[in-house]
Amino acid sequence: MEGGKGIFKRYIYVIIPIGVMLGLAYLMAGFIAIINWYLGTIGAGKILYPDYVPGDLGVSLVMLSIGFLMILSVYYWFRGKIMKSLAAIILGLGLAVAAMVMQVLVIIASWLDSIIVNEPITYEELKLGFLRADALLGYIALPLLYVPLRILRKTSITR
Amino acid sequence: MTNEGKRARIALAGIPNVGKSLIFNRLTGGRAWVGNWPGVTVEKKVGTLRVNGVEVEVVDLPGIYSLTAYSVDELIARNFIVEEKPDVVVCIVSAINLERSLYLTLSLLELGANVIIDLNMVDLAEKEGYRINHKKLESIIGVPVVPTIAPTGRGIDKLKETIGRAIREKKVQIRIVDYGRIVEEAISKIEETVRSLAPELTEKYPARWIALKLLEGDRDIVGKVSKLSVGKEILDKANQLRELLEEKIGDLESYIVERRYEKVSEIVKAVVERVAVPRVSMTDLLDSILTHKVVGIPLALSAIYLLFRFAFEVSAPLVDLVDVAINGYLHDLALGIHGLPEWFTSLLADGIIAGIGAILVFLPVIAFFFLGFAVLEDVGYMARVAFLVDKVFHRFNLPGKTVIPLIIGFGCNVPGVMAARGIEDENERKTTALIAPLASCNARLPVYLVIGSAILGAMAGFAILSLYVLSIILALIVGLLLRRTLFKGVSTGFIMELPPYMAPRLGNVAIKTWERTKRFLFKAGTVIFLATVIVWFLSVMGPGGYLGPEALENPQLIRESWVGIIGRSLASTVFSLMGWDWRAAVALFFGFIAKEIVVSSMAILYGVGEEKLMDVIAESQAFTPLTAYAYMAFVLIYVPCLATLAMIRNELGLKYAILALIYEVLLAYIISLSIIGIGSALGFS
Repeated sequence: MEGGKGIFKRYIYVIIPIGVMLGLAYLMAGFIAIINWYLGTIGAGKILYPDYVPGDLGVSLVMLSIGFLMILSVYYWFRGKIMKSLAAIILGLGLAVAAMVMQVLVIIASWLDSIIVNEPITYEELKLGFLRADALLGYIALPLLYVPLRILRKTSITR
Repeated sequence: MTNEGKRARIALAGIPNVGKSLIFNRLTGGRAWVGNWPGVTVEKKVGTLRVNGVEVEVVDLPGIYSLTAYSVDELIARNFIVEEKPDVVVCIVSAINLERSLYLTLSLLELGANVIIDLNMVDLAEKEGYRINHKKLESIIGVPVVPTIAPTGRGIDKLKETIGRAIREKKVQIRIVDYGRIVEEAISKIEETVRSLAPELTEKYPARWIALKLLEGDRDIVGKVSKLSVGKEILDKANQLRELLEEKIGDLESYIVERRYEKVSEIVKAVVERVAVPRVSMTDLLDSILTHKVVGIPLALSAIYLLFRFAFEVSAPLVDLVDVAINGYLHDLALGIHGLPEWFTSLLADGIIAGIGAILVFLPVIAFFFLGFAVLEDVGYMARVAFLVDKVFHRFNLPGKTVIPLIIGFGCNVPGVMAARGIEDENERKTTALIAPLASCNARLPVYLVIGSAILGAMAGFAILSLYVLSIILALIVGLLLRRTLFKGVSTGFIMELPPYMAPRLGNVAIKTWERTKRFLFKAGTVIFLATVIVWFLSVMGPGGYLGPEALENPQLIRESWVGIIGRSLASTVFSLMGWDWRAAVALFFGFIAKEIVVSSMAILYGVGEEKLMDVIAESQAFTPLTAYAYMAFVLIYVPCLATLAMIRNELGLKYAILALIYEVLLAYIISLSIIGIGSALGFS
C-alpha cells in the first residue's frame, strides 16, 4: 500500500479512537434496544432510556452491526489489514449515516402524517425523534465518513 | 424494414448482471411491454427503437450463460433465435468478465445468429487496469463490436447505427470454434446425414449446430430429431460416432465445452491489454466485508430492515392520505347519497369503495418498497445477499436467491412473491414464490402482539420470536418438499455474477419501480377488488336476507350473516379440536382479505374498541395459552392475504394460487393441531 504517511497518521489519530468510542456507544445502544424490545413484549410497562433507545429489534440489529463494524475496523488495523480496516469503517459509518437519514425521514413522515390525519403535532415527540440514539450517533458519523473515503481516494492501493 | 417486408426485430442477449436492462432502456427509452414467454413464467420484455426513422422491435432475452437445454431460460433464448429469427442479436459482453460473456457469444454465433457485440463496462475495465482492443476482437470474431458505457450512454448512438447496418447486411459465423480433426470429421458426417435425410430441419437450424448438439446429447434436439420419420437413422449415426469419439477423448460434452473455453481464452489473450498495475477496486474492498460469511449476514439484515422502515414508515403519510381520501371522504360521500336503495349505498361505500381503498392503501408501501429495492439492486448489493446464504439454501435444494423473496416477505408477502422473478430457473422460481408467503409479514405482528400479550404474558416475547423461527423452518422444509415432488430438479449451482458496485441510476431505478408497482396495481388490484366485494356480500347477507350495513359493526348482526354462519360452523367442526370460539374463526375469515383486519374484526366481534381488546380477550377465557399459541401459528401459516394470492395467480397462474391456498390452510391446520396435541401431551394447557 502506498500513500502519504500523514494520511495514515490522521487515520490512526482521528478514526481509531473515535471508532472505538462510537463503536462501543452503538453496541451499548443496541443491547439496550434488545432489552427494551423484550420488556415491551412482556408488557413490563417500563423500558430503559425510553426517549433515546426504542424497543425495536430491527434498530438494535442495525446499531449492533454498526458497533461491530467499528470495533472490527480497529481490530483489522492492529492486525495490519489496512484494506479491511478501511472497508469496515466505511461500511460502519455508511450504515450509521443511512440509519440516521432513515430516522430523519421517518420523523418528517410522521409530522406530515399528523397533518393529514388532523392529529395535534407534538413537537416534543418530534424533537425526541431527532435525539434518538440511531439519529444522534449518526450525526457524529456523517463528518467522520469523509476521512476514510478521502484516504481511499488519495492512496493507491495495489493488488 | 427487413427484406421480407416485416418490421425488423432485434434481440438482446447477455449473461446476468452485464447491464442488459440498462442497455434495453437506453435503446427503447424505457418504454416496454412486459409479459411472459409463452407457456412459462419467465418475464418477456419488448420495446421499440427507431433506427434511421424506422421502428425496430427490441426483445430482451433472459439473462443466460450458454445455450444448453438444461435451463428454461436458455431454451427460451435459443428457441426464440431459431424460431423467430430476429434480424440481429445484440450480445452484451461485459468488459470486466470477458470469458463468461464470450462463451455465450460463441454459442450464439454457432446457432447462426446475426450477432453484434456490445462491449459494455469498458470504463470499469480501465479502472481495473486493462483495456480491450475492440478492433482486434472484431477482426478475430468477424462481427461488429461496439464499446459502450451504459450508465452514461456512451456508445449507444454508435450501437444504434451498427444495429441499423447489421439489419441490412447480415453476417453469420457458424464455424467459429475448431473442435479438432476427429470431432470435426464426425460433425461433417452428421451434417451430411442431416442434410440428406432431414432437409426441413436444416431450414430452421444450422446443420453444423444440430450435429454438435447431437454429439453433446442435447435432450431438446435429440427429442426433436426422434420425432422425425428418419429420426432413428440420424440418431443411430450420431450415437455411433459419439461412442467412437468417447473411446478416444472421454466425455464428449465436456470436451466440446473445453474446446469452446480454449477458444475464448485464446481470444481473451489476444484482445486484453494491460495498461496499468491493477488497483484494488472499491468493489473488492467492500466485498471483503459485505460477502464475509459471518459479518455479511447481520449487515444484510440491517440493510433489509432499513428498506422496510423506508417502505412502511416513510410511506405512512401517503397511506393515510389515500385512506382518508378513499375510506374516509369518498366512503362518507357515498353513504351520504340520497335517493338510492340502502343496499346499493352500502355496496358502493363498503364494497366497491372499500375494495378500491384496499388496493390503493397498499400502493404507497409497494411503490416505496420497490423504490428502495431497485436502489439496492442497482447498487449491486442484492446479488451479495443471495451469495451469502447460497450454501445454506443449497442444502434445501434451493438457490441462494430464494433468501431475497423470503426476507422481503417478512415486510410484505406481495413484493416477496414478485421478487421471486429474479430467480432464473423456473422450478426454483415457482417453489420460491409458493414459500415466500410463509415469511411472517408485518401485518401478522399485531395479531401476535394482541393474543400473545393478552394470554401469554411474560412468555409473549419468546412465543413471537419462535413464530418467526417457525416461519423460516417451514419455508425451507416446504421448499425442499416442493423441490422433491412438484418441482423436481437439481438446484442450479451458484454461477451468478457479482456485479461491480455502482451508484444507482435514477432513470433505471424509476423504470424498475414503475414497472413493478404498475404490475401490482393492475394485475393484483382487480382480484383484490373483486374479493373485497364478495366478502362484503357475505357479511351483510344472511339466510334471512339483507342485514343492512350495520352488520359490519354489530357483533349480534354479523353472527347472523353468512360470514357468521361460516365462522360458527367452522368453530363447531374443523376448529372444535383447537378450542377456538366462533369469533376467532370469523376473524380468520376476514384475515383472508388482509391480516391487518384480524385484530379490528376481533374488536368488532367482541364488541369493544381495539385499545380494550387485549383486556377483553384476557378476561374472556376464549383462549388458553396453548390454544392462543396454536391460533398465532395458524395466523402465521394460513393463506397470507388476498393480495398475495392474487400475486401468485398473476406470477404463476390460477392453478398455483389454488395450490398455495390449499397447502397453506392444510399446513396451518396440521401445525396448529400438532401444537395442541403435543402441548397437551407435555402437560401444557
